[in-house]
Amino acid sequence: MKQKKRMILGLAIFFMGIICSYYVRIAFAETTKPSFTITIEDGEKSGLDSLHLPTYVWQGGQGQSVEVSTEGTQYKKNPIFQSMYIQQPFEMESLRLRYPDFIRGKEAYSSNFTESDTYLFYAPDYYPSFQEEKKKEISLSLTSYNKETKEEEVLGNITVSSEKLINHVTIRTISYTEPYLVIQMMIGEEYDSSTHIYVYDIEKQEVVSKIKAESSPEAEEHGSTIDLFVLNQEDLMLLSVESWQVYSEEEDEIIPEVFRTFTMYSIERDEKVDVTVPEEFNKTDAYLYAEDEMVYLIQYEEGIVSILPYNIYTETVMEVNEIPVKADIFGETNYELELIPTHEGIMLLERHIYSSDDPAGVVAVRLPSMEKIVEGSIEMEAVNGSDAYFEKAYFE
Amino acid sequence: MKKMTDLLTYELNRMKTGYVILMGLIVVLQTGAVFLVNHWYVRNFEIFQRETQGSILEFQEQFGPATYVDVVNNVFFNFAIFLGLILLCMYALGIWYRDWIGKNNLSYRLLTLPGSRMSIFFAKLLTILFMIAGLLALELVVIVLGDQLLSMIVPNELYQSTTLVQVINMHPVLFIVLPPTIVDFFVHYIVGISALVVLYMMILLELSYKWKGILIDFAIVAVSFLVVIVAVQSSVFKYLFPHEVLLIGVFLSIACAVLAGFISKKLLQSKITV
Repeated sequence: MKQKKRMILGLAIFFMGIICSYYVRIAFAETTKPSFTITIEDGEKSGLDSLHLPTYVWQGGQGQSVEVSTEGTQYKKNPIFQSMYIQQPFEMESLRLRYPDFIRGKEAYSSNFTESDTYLFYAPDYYPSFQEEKKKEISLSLTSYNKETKEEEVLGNITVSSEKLINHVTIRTISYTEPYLVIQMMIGEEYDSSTHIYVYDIEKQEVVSKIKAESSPEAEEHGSTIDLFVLNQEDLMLLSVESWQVYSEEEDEIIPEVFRTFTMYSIERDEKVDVTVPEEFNKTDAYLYAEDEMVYLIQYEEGIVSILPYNIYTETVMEVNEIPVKADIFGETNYELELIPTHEGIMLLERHIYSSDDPAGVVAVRLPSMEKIVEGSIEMEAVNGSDAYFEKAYFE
Repeated sequence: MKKMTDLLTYELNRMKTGYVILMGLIVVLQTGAVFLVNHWYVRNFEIFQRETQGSILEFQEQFGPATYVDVVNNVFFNFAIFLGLILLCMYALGIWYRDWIGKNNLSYRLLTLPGSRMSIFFAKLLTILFMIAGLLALELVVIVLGDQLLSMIVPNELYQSTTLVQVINMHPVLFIVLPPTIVDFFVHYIVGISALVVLYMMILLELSYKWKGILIDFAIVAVSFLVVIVAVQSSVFKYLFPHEVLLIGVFLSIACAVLAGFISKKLLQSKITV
């Protein structure tokens, strides 16, 4: 009997030893975790000093979050001590850690929040429960959090109404341009949904503009998205740019084509304003960015970042500005790039790093002067099979 | 303690033949899956070569490399996993009923043994945990050795190595029983062991009160569902952060296990009948 007991104990220890070795092996793999280096190739030496890249690294079948900056690579925790049940996207986790009292009880999506230097604003979604009777009119309560006084305040309500019963209201984006909150929302009705833009004046505590985004059947068919830009000139304007991609096949190669339509609204006069853009702005795979009175068409091709500025108020196309960059700073085309607005202008960044041999390129440009601030690369040192995705890019 | 270890030894001794056969079946099926994957690649490469005169690298470009993930997706590998899972679940129930059903059943002798009757409960619980640990360890060894075997039998140009974590992440059942983080391992097994303790309490209720016990069991299941539905429908989860929900879940599991253990003790001491 005693011998049997010893054998059982031995077997139990043996089984647990094998299971433990599996977890020890994962923890030990930490010593080969990827590291990132930001290198400036040309431009202002301090141009990327305050760049922060919250990054998701995938290695050996396991993902983990790291923060990349010029100071190096910071790993938050050993991934083995994290739980998959509490992982949140970087932006939401950052908000939760900074303003836990305000975030508690609110939607867990960063698209419902927007920040200014002093305030954090929030607009909720609307999803009625099964028992709740559906309505044709609902009210969304806007709230703000003062970062200095740490006080929460109800700014007011937005009344959303529809001819049909409302199934749900989902906030797509929310942005702040003093004193306005521009809220893009999807209103879901029975068998139908539509995009609406509400402009809320915080000072007057009322909705000053209510716009229903008109989509063409073609745009809807191809799953269009809407980008909103607040143009701040004599009259505060809202430029809505709807984009959609159509894929065509040429010699076994799938080529995406981007189409755009432009609509402009005067926020103060609450009316649609005629807008004319050059033909090349409507159909191109270039990136689009708008600021003040200018709309920029930004493209990268074979070592050249070209920026075509267009004054939307005077309807003047200005000269193309070509910025030479290192020929291999990005891949061959700009499909892998992402345009990120910065305090000074814009930044083009390759968001994915697929291997150690292929660093991600970054080019920052000052607007409206269109001068290159800096160009550089982000290199990943890792074992084969690792890849990384920059969840966000911001200058601190 | 002595009674419990004696009973545990006895329980393990009773199931050892079936358990070893199960382990053997798993090894055979999952090793067979390695050979089947190799066979598929070799056969298809021959067809590819005959039809296109292409090289092994061109074949790899078209069909991808042979990895242990292909083995994990094989029907034999999955059959072995589900066989182990189903038999283990059945034995978790059968471990009680085999002592209570039939003529000259063992339950009479078990209940008349001197010492705490909870030893019976813990011996049965530990037997199942021992079996789970054994199958987990076996699975880890089979995957590591299986990958080695695949690398030996598949042509070098076709083989691509994968990590153990990659393989486990690819399989929905393995991902739950061997999650990639130690925190989730504890979470899964705390919840799992609590569920097993509650199940054993429900079995003891049935053995103690017969039909009334079954009705009580149904009531427990119904109330549990109702509590979960009410909690999900209410805004309580919306108010909590994900780590708080996780902590509450773990705490409630432990609380349920302690309560179920306490009820089981009462039932074993004063209500259970043979």
